[in-house]
Amino acid sequence: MKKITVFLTLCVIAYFSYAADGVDYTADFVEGSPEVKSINALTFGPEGILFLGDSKSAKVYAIETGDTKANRIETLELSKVDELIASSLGTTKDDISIQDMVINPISKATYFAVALGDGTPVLLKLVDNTFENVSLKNIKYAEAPISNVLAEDAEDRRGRSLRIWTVSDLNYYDGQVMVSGLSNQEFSSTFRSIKFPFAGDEQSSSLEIYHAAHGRYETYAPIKSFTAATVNGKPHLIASYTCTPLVVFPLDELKPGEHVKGRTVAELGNWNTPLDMVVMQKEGKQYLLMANSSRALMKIRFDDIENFDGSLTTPVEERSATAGVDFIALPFVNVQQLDRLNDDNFVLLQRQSNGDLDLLTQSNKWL
Amino acid sequence: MEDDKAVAVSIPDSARGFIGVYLHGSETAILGQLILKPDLVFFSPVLPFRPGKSYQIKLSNGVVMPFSIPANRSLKPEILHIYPTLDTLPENTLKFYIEFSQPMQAGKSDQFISVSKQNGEMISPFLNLQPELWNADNTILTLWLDPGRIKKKLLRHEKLGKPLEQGFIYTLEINTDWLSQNGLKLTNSFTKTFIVDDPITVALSLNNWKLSIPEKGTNDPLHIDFGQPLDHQLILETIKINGVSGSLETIDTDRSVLFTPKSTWTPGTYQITADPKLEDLAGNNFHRPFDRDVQTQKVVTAPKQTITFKIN
Repeated sequence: MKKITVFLTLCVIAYFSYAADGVDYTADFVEGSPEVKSINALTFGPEGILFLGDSKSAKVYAIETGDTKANRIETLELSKVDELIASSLGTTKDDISIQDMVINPISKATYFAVALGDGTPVLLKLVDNTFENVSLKNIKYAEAPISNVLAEDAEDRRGRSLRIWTVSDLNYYDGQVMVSGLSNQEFSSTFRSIKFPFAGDEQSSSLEIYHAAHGRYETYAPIKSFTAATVNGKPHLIASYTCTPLVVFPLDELKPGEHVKGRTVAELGNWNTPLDMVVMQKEGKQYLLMANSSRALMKIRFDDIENFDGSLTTPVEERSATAGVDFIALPFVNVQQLDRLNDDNFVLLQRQSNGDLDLLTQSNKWL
Repeated sequence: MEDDKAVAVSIPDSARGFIGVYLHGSETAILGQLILKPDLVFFSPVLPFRPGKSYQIKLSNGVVMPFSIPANRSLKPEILHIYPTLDTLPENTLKFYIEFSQPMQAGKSDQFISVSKQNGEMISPFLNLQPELWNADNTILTLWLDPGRIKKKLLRHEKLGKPLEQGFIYTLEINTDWLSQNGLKLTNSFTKTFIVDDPITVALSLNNWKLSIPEKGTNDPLHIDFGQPLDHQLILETIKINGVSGSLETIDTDRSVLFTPKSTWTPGTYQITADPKLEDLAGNNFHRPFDRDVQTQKVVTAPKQTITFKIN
């Protein structure tokens, strides 16, 4: 009887997950052990589906985590995260690097992509302040190639691949898995948008995006970190560049093979690389939070982005020295990872002055 | 052991009340699985035990059983090349490639690479990228000299100046603490001293290329002289001789390339093709100079560049 009850419950859950938006996201998933070679970026999609960006395989994997039990968690706090991860893997913290951190929007479990010193990737899940291994063996998954750049791959005389394309960021927005990447050979901005569920032979969008805040000289800088959000009532890509500008692009203009002119809305400082960004809301207003390599956590009001009328061809000299929308530096430095916990809170992975790498929760009182 | 990796440790028969396996000195149990076979109990960690590390099996009766994984005996890594190999570089040099003999640990290059100006001042000319740009087996690292500082009129260019300045001598140094993926340090430190000369600001042109054509019936290499040093990796990737398989080897500090065919040359007409994305040391390609004034310098959509030659 118990078995039947469980079976019926599962059927009901399955029915509702299918019926929620009419899309059966996992219909084309296969069971097996994907050959994940690296995990450079993570993002959650619908129904606990986790996307992994794998630079070495030039693929995006969608995996069914089954981690779909809703939890309400107000705070996540854990000290010495890198030490704990390293110990859990039988090694020391100098032998690991944390590639990305995301929070499952349903279960609120925190997922970490970790690379060992020898390059071995591992996916971990933090539940009740204990790390668990998320096995990539015998799972339900789907995969999509990131890049046709690799199709014309060349090898050197020792048979090594010359061209590489690393995943710098990954996001899921409105049925699209969006990937930004860096090439080792061309200084260009390559951005791909892949429809999900993956549709086999479908071409992904390949875009070169450029901005020219400086008027006469162009740049094809690569996107380092990005997010998607509604700006002026329309979905936009908000991208931060390795060379500091913050640029917005209307998503409906991003079409395969086309060059799209973005609108540079801010120049956010020198000696700095953006690391991660997240969108938060408070009292009906949206805010962009951005973590940086050598600057404090920045807060930018969406109102300011929407009201800023700077355009592609406006020379920097005609705007204020730091150019573009205002940002407020929040008192959090050395923030390496950032994600939204719930409507009211966001989570930081922050290197403290004593060297500890801590997971901390901050509330939207800072917004 | 599997492929020289310690993938499991057996737990002795007497082991009752297994608590876990720990890195020596750690209170956090290693993630893994206790596997029970009829005549054997063993613990398989999520990732293999690491060479050179010591571990402990802990039991509930307080017994602690230590074990260690021997340090890796594989070859120590060394630096094979730094490209460009020239000791005089254009001011707007865009990339360095560092080639190692063994796969290296990624993500920490800024800790081990330093660049100093002739007056001893330490500078940071490279773009800080994470993930770093490594080839598939982690033996070649690409470093970009910050393009935001090379390109005119960008805020970084205006505020921070060019990454390298004409007329100065620089020393790039790599220290030995950089570990290979096997956990071994570099055999020796490496320094490259170079002087910075005029920038190169024009697009590439085939007009400068010169060929030395081999004799028929030989395996002698075809010699292509570019008239200027080009990007080492892109030469190897973008230059092809249509219909002929063979190997490319750059020589003369990447000013030239030798193409050696697998079979002997037969009389006929051959075509050398170069992808228009081939670049010189400053990122100028056949389409455009790397940094251009959009009002006066147009991008030319260059087709595949071809040169035809005959072997009689």
